[in-house]
Amino acid sequence: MDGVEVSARLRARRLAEFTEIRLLIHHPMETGRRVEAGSGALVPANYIERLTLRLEGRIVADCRLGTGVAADPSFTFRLKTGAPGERVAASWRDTQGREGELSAVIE
Amino acid sequence: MRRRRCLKLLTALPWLGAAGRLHAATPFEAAWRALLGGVPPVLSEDMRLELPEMAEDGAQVPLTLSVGREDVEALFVLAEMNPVPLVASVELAADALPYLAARIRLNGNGVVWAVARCRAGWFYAQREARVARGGACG
Repeated sequence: MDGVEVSARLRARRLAEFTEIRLLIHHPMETGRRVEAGSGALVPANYIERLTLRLEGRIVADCRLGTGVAADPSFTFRLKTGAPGERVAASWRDTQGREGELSAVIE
Repeated sequence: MRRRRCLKLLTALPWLGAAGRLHAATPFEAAWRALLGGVPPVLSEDMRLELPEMAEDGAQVPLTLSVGREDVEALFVLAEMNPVPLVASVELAADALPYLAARIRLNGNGVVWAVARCRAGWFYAQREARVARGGACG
């Protein structure tokens, strides 16, 4: 990733009925409609438009996001499958073309 | 007859632009139609959409959606008060539970809709949402 540093956290836990996956991405999710205080200029749009979640390399949730997702977006997903030790990965791309990826082992 | 004359009058007013613009769809109507075509979804008792009764901050509103069905293929969240009403679309694999928790933006008071595309058809749930402080243009 170049330019803005984007950090994220991913945690996956096997519970009795399902695997719970929590993802938090630090991202401004700029809508393109926000006016900067002071200059009065519009802050250019920059939001995560695509988010893909994989279990052991296979897509389990494929999301298209809009500007209605809050800044520093957080998501929780649940899978019937997933065993401790298996790997979950999240990857995303924002409207300025920056990509991010993070994986975690199911606890 | 009189109605026809009115229509003629409307189309004869070039400064109004295309007559259709008088009946322009709201962003929500356009998003709803783009998602569903002309087919209305069925109100589902199996869908649970949870939002705070009064969100403190429209820029950070927690939302939880879960569907008690086995045939859900995709989930959609729409906020009718937002300039871009389609908040998120989630395509789910067969082993993903029809569940989503996220934080969203709400640009004021209005209705939030959850739509599920299922093998048996389209279903929805809705919740009235109110925000104490408006939502940074979701």
